[in-house]
Amino acid sequence: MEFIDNLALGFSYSLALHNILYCFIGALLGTAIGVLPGLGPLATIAMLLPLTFTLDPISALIMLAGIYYGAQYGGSTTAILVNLPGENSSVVTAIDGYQMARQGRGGAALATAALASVLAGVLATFFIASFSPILAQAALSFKSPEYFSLMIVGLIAAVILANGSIIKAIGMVVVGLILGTVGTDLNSGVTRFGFGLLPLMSGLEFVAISMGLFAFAEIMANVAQKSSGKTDLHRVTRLWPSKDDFRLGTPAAIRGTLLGSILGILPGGGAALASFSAYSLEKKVARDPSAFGHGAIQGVAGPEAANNAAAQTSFIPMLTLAIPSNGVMALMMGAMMVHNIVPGPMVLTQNAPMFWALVTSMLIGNVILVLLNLPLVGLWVKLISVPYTVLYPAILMFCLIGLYGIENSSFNVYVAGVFGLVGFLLHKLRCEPAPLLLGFILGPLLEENLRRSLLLSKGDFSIFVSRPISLTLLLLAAVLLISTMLPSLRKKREEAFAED
Amino acid sequence: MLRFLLRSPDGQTALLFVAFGLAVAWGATTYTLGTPGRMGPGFFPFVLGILLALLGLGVFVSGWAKREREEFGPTPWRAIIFITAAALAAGVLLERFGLAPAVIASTFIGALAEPRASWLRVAAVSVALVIFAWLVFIVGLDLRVPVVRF
Repeated sequence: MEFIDNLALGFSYSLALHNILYCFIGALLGTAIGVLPGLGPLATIAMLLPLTFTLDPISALIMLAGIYYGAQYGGSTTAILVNLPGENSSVVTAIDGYQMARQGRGGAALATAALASVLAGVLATFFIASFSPILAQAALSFKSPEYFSLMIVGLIAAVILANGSIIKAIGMVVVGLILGTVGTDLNSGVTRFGFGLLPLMSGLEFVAISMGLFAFAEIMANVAQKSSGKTDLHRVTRLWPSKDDFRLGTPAAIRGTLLGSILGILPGGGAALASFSAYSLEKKVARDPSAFGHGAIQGVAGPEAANNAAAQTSFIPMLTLAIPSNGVMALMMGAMMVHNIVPGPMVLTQNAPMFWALVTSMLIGNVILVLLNLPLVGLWVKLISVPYTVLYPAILMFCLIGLYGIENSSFNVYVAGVFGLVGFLLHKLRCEPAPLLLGFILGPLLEENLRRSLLLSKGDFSIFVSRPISLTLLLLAAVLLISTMLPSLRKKREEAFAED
Repeated sequence: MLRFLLRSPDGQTALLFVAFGLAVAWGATTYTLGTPGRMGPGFFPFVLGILLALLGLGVFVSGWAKREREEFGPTPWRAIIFITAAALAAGVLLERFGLAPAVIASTFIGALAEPRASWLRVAAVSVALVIFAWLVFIVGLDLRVPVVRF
């Protein structure tokens, strides 16, 4: 059977000792950094990216994936113990998880989160393995007009789910697209917006942009308040969930996994959407909805399973269609491109070992994560209580030297410095920086496909609407965009984000 | 109106989008624009620049229509200045003098961003970070940068 063969091929790489080791290191570092309060997965991954650049592509991807779900899990730990969710996807975990911690059931909440995550991770891996080949097969018939329209859908969908104003988010995507044009134009050989700077010929470095926008800007926003405050931490005692917890939590985790797996594939979907939806689903199906908000175990198990499942299935559109559904996936895609792997339907045929190694490593990684997290909870708790005054210089140092290491030059350090200022400005202006990153990563691909389409049609824009698949995709994008302007939906969207 | 443009997040975003968009579109005209069928290198950025400027107008209109207009809180200038300075200083020092001076400088300059930094602690942190950086980047990752170079 092909399915089994594929998995066997993957395991033959991912079970190699050095790759297990990289998976372990990735998950460990991801969790350790992700646990730190006020440091979301985007900043965490950006900060750790340079560590993977010296590895061979397969090991690098395995380690990156480990960092990714480690960071997700670490974020949940912080959300539960100190009520400081690092990003949207752990916001709902904080609601009931933190209440559990206040009632002295923090250990059980953490264990539930870990067990729900591993269950979701394992099931989602099989989901990816069976679903990606189908999607890739379908996408093989895509030509540049379809790709162009697909990217438009992806970008619009991602924008709709961003926090805050939609016009601003679209503006951020456009700014990202503009930044993506910096460097040598492959078709003409002309350097665009190079300002006579030699390093800019190869374009802006996405690691520098993301470190600046996320890590530096976060430090600027936090250093004044956090260096004086103390983190209020609840003691973790009993770790293992009770029988009742299992009875209520297990079905919730399974529901969360299913919901998350599906929502993760949608363009614009991902961990945050999945956890919000899972929480409201649990609230609806629960026999006693009034327990929610006061430490309901389902409120931890469901969303945690959902966000982990979605975090993994969101790899599907990124790997097979080259459509990152959110900022974190854009970062992963950029990292793949650093290793000269261009995602798309060809990945499955041309880079089959890499693809299956990555998919199977997720399974291994999730198991490692649970083995790591249950015994190491005490260590993570200590990490959370590290004062910010020690933390931010370490983050700064890690970023600065990592940036230097990319090209053995300080140019990227300066670029990140500038983007730190940009990131802070955007924060001030209430503009979400994640869509910018999405635009930046997709920019060159979007331009390339636009150019090719119009070359094909000799400049006739109707090529995008005369091809059925492309037309359908564009209509979908239009519907998505218009739906946000409807008053009823608009209100709902505002409510969803208002919960944090 | 002027107050809205200069004092509120929406107003400034609108200004920024329009200004940056027009600047990009203008910059793009210095490259060949070409035709849609045969795009030159300037075509895509030109279109994006115009699009961004239009979005800026959109932000202006929607922000102006809001009943409650938000205004800025105080800006932590100190943090912005010293964190950026820490990064730039580390960049210069890494190339000229190596890892240790860069890490120490970035830690000390960064600490100026804190309202009340304890210099003893900053010194201890910087020493620890030099050792940490040396272990991770030079021993672990084989980064080609000297610890100290005179």
